[in-house]
Amino acid sequence: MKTRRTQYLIDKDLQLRYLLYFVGSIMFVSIVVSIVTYLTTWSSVIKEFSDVKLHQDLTTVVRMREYEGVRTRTMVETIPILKEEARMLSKHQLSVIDKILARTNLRVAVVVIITMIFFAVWSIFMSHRIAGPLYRINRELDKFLRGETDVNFKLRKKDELRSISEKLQVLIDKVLSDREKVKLLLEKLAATNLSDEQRRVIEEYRQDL
Amino acid sequence: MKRFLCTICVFVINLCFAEIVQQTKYEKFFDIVEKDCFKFFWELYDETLGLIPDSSRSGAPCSIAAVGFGLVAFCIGVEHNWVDKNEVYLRIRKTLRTFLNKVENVNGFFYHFLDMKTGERVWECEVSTIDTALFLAGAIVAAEYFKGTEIEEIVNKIYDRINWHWALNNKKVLCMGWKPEVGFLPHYWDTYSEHIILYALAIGAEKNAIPVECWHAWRRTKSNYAGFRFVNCPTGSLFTHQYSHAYIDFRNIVDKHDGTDYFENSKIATMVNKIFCERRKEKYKSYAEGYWGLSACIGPDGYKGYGALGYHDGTIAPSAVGGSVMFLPELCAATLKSMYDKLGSKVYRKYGFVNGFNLDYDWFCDEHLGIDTGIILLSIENSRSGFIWKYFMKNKRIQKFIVECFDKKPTVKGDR
Repeated sequence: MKTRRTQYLIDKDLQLRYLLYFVGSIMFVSIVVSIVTYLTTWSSVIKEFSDVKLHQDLTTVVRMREYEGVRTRTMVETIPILKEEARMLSKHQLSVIDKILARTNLRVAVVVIITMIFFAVWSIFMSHRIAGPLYRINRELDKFLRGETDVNFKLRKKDELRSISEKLQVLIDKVLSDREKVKLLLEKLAATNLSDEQRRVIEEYRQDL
Repeated sequence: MKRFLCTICVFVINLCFAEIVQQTKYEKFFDIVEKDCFKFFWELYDETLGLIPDSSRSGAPCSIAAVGFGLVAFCIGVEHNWVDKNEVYLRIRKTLRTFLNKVENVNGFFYHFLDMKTGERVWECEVSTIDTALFLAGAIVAAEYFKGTEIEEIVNKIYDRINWHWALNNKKVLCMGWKPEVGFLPHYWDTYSEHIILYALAIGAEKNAIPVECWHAWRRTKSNYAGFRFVNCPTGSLFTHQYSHAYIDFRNIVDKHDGTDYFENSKIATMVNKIFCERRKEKYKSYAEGYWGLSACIGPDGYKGYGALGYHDGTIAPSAVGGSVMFLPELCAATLKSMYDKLGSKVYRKYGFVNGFNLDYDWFCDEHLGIDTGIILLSIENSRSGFIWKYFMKNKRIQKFIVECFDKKPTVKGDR
């Protein structure tokens, strides 16, 4: 029969802590990217479209048309309202905005890549708090199963699963202690009046332990 | 008798002294003007790509013609010991490398205006034949000045890369320009103007040169004024008599087409310009004050093609006077000095004379244009040392053009 988990927040402390880590990371990245985008775009836009710059551009576009008029000896109207100058000016401004956006996209991409690399490295350190303990527990259990008795489930302060490792340590210590007691019991039994068959069975158990 | 001889001697000595004093007075003035004009190019040169702006106005794009003048200005700066030769070499080399490798070209011709930082075409401007020529002319002077160096090598590559034939657009005269949006412009260099330098480079080229027939295909339109008959541009703007002449030494050669002596022609055009203004001094305050000089410049209503026998409104272009110093040094120097002394900082600022002024409107331009500042510098330098003529005329391609299109000036009148 399949058992379904009904309580997902089974270890509130652990799960909420990791929730905070993930959500916090995403929020941090979003804020940084937003700030960079805002500052980069707006500072460039404000600079390019300031009154002074617009006046310079307007003067330049009118001057370009005047040069053309003098060279080709044609009269050129230079009232920049719904005229050729306005078209050229707006095309120039579009290309300026294009360049600003391209520059901004590049900067945002760089910031995102750097931030992602930072968080990738950070996540390795964070996940190590779970992976490390699991590895240690596995290794010590393997030792115990091989018959080694110097098992130690002690974890670092910041590691997760410390409560499990402590309980495992208590369990193993108890198993080892009980095994010693049984060994002693069997030795005492072997020293009493027993038949050969009985002595052989006791010796077998003692060897196993 | 002794007294008479003494009197004659004193008179002659005074005359010589006056001439020396006059020359010395103008020499110092020329030193000031040349150096300030030079500063336009030196200080506004952008280190990013080695480009020079069209104007001293903030935000102005690069003008390739101004770059050409700038290359010559740097060489002049070395001659006058204003700047270090090695630094000039590095600056010129950077500029030329930009034009060889970075700036877009269409059949070797460049766009008229470029972004100062990126070298890209701006403001939908045209690929300009005349401005490419003015850039190249300046580059040739630099190449001859730094002969045997990478500068000469780059200039030769840029020159050889130009397909002058393409610019004919299957006609006998060169087109003014081309745009990717519309193709060739509907205007051609078919009447006397500042384009002689363009034909010089196109005919003298070692690669893709245009035929000599093209030299004879454009019209030498003539004007009559004040008893003078001379080859003239319809607008009468004085710069058309100056730009080519700043590079080509016309002093001892005449046009094979009709025998025109362009050096003398420019002298006449300058005189006509002065007389034209003098005859209208009752109508315009600038002329009444003794100022003259009608040429394309910035005026109260914007940049206009002012000229004698053409459009004028009392706006004076100091560059018209300055650009003619090489033809009539005394006359032009006196006028410029008068402007300098009487109008002071209204017309003379950081980079020399401002581009235009009009006393009727009490209007004084607040900017300097590269090409007009450049022509003043080159003209004054030519009048003092012939520097630009000397180096430009050394170029073998220019010599080829001269041989094909000009005869030596007859030494005695009536020999022709």
